[in-house]
Amino acid sequence: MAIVYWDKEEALNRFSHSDTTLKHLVIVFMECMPHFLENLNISIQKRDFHSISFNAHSIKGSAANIGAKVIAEITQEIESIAKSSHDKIELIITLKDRLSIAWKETIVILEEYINSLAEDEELAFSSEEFYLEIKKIRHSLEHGEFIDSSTLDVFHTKVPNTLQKSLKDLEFYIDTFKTKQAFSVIEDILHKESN
Amino acid sequence: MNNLEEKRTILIIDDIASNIQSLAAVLKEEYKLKIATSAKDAFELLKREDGIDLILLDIEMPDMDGYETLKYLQENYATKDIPIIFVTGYISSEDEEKGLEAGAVDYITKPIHAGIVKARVKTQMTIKVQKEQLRYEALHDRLTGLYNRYQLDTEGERKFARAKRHKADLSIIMLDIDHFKKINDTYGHSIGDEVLIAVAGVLKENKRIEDFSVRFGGEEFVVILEDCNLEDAVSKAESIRTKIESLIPAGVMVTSSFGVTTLQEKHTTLEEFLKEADDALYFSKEHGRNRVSTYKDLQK
Repeated sequence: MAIVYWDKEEALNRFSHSDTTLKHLVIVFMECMPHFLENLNISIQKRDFHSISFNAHSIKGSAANIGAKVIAEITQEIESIAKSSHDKIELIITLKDRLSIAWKETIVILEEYINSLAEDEELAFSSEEFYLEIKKIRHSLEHGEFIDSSTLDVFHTKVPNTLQKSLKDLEFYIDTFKTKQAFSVIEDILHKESN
Repeated sequence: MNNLEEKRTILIIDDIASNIQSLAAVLKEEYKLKIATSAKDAFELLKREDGIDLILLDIEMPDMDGYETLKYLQENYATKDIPIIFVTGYISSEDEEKGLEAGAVDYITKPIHAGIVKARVKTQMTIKVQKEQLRYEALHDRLTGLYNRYQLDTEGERKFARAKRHKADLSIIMLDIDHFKKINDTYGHSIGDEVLIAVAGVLKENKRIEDFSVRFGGEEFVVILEDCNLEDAVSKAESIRTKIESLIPAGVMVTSSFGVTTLQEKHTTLEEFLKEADDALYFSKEHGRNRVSTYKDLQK
């Protein structure tokens, strides 16, 4: 039987069959995974079992959340090994290699899903609206409010090239709750406006 | 009290972005959401922002975990009444028991299920709203919306003790609607009630944030003024007196008599302090009504 890397139905069941929700969660997961894997690798290199267990736990939670089963299973195993004994680093390294492969397989499936839901709506907007939205986001950040980065989606294809990267960075920092970095990108964008 | 119609606010504390995102996706339509990615961020946010109704707290976090965070929040006066729901990947019943014993009001396991999260959050939010309503009703006079006698006993004592300790100014205005029985007898109780509501309205309007207005008895009211000396309390009473006089609620001409006093070294209990205001009020009644007297006036 083929390995099921991603149990989409299970995840959709938990999120009221909303593709919009799941798509957003999958995007955030894909944004976060490279950092998670890097952190796990570093803690393995350092033989820091507490940190290995913690990083594996983080990946497990995020993966289980979107139904990425194989990744969740492998990291679950890494977590419990790192918690119970401190002399099985070889086993953990083997599992980490399996994790990398699983990630490569999973990412293909997730990307397919995202692309299948791609929106090609062409919404018109003015640059005033864009800067207003950016200022609204800054205000929300100042108050620790949750920001739905999808409000920025309509600007994607429309902002000038000079802003494309900033916009992408901003979405990433918003989705991953890196408030300081998000502030600095906003200052950049607004600085460009005033010029 | 929060407006019951307004969206309630939930603080999500979790170090993993995708966990926050999934909770947010489920709750963002119905609630205002605030986010903190560590206990430290959450404490800072709670210092800056008030009106957090409920906290969803991750257990596994670096630096300070969920159990410690919960303990800290429950020991802190400003946050001790905010209900906390644990959201966690620990799914054994021992873990759940530990979480509930620590004082969490509920326990949600990951990976989350939208329907379950919504239902559990809603239950806790309903309890929170009901508690607020009960608390409001326990401390306020139903007719006028002013504080009631019970709250005067507790909060008044606190203000009295605080002023004594810091040797700060503290004054009391006591007022009583003149010939209220006659108003009731002549126009009926519903007009009487309207008069009471209108007078209470004047007290509410004229309140600084540090003032505290109480319906003391039937037609008797008390205002406690912090950091306010006798002179200022008298002019405040005088301003309330003229406003009531020009009010004419339900077409009835209404006046009130006032007694004012201010805290001195000699006062040892709130009761004797209030008694002085009451004596001054009695003096106003004896000397023509619709006037302001101070306790000092009695001694002349």
